Amino acid sequence: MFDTHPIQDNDQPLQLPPQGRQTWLVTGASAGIGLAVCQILHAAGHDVTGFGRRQAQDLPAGFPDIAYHTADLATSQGCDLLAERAPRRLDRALLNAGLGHYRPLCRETPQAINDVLAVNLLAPIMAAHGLFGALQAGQGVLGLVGSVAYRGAAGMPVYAASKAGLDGFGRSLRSEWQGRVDVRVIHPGPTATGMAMRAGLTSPLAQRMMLPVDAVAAGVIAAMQGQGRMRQRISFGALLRHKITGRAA
Amino acid sequence: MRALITGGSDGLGAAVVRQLTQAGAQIWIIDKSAPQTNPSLRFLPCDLAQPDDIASLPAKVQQAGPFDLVVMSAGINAVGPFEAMPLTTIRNLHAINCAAPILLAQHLLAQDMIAAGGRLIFIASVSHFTGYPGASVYAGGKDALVAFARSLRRPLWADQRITVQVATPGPMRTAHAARYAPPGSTGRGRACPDRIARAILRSKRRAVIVPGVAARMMALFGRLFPVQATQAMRKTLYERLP
Ligand SMILES: NC(=O)c1ccc[n+]([C@@H]2O[C@H](COP(=O)([O-])OP(=O)(O)OC[C@H]3O[C@@H](n4cnc5c(N)ncnc54)[C@H](OP(=O)(O)O)[C@@H]3O)[C@@H](O)[C@H]2O)c1
Repeated sequence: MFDTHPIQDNDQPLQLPPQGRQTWLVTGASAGIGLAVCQILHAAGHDVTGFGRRQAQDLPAGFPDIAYHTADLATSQGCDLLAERAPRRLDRALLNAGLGHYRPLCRETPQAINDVLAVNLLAPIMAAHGLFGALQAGQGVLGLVGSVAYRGAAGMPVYAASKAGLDGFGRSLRSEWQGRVDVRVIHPGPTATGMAMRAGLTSPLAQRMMLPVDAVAAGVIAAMQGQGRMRQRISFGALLRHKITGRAA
Repeated sequence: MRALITGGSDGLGAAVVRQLTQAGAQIWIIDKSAPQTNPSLRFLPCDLAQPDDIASLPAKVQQAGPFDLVVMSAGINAVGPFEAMPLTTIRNLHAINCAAPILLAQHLLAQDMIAAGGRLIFIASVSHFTGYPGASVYAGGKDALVAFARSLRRPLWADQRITVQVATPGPMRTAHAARYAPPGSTGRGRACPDRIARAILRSKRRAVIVPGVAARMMALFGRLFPVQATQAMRKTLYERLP
């Protein structure tokens, strides 16, 4: 299911990054933070393979000229497909696909609970399992995209649980894989994407409190480079510090 | 008092049941196999790895409820290098430890099966404070429960006067712990599950209950020195795996 966008001249990489060309895998590449990450990486000359739930013909207009595969990560077949279509050697894998609803438990349904836990927690675990060989071959970095809600959030208990699960999994896996694959958990604050809108955060105040998606994407990429701590938050403060010091959160 | 205990046939769940029996509670147990010790206990067989099985539970206990106490103690573990863990094991860990208590809580609350003034207690693990290399999927599932309980606590108290708590016990002298300890471990330093059960039931207010001296020391170490605590867990558990 390769996407065949015509290669445009202005789509050509402008410059190779100082560390050289890296091979990336990004899930949730079709929208929001993942899309912005892919755009930045492609423009910087990296080799990117993206995954999303939607079909290639439904990708947004600004989608970069990268390999794209459709896989529904709520299903075990989708998780298998990801492992099959992934490059054999990876420098970076960013497991970013996710969904969530801003609502109390009494308004949740069993189906929605299963989906959120499957996509946000089980799928990254399965993907980490399937990508271990490729990441080890590249002495790579595995990035798990969590959320600042991982410490608990009264308005979104199931989402918070899924992101806390990811955080706890990443913490222990980082220790297991030390010296082989570098595992990091990246927790963005509220970001102005379709997710936040769908989650119900539409009030003008909520809008103003939201981080711009391009800045968050740049922060996520920075958090995947160099020496990094296990847990990295992307907030207004962290973005500002990054601007000033050039270091990730 | 009416109490519903998942995983009540074995381990910590069974210890909770023993404590409650002494206190004269009416007890319903949800588990895969029936309790060995006291056949007079009301027992509902359920495979918590199956969402449909979970969905059918509230109807079966409709007459019994609402409950004054619900303890989600059912859980499994599997240790070993993550990349070598069979995918079915990973799926089961996720389904039973993480998804099942969340789904069951949603079903019970949606059908008003937890009484006003009642308690809902999740059982997580002291690995919340230390990490657990060699059981990364288990550790993740348990952390999910901690965050879930924290998230529910305020709204459920405000709306229904239900107290939500999560307990993070350390190693106990249960069949579960013995099975997953590194080879050659003597089992010394493991807490007696009855004491841990008592500590949990006695602690009526705390959001996060850290029961037992050993768990409290591990939690303190993990809070002060998170990186070193995970490293220490790696040394004592992961590096001694067969
Ligand atoms: N936005 C925020 O405020 C915020 C804050 C903290 C953390 N995060 C996290 O950041 C990550 C990206 O969020 P976002 O704001 O960029 O969300 P978004 O705009 O809604 O994009 C979500 C991405 O995940 C993919 N996805 C969703 N369900 C999927 C499934 N079942 N199978 C495969 N892919 C699936 C979507 O694919 P399709 O579009 O093709 O369906 C899309 O590419 C998520 O993990 C989210 O939890 C977001």
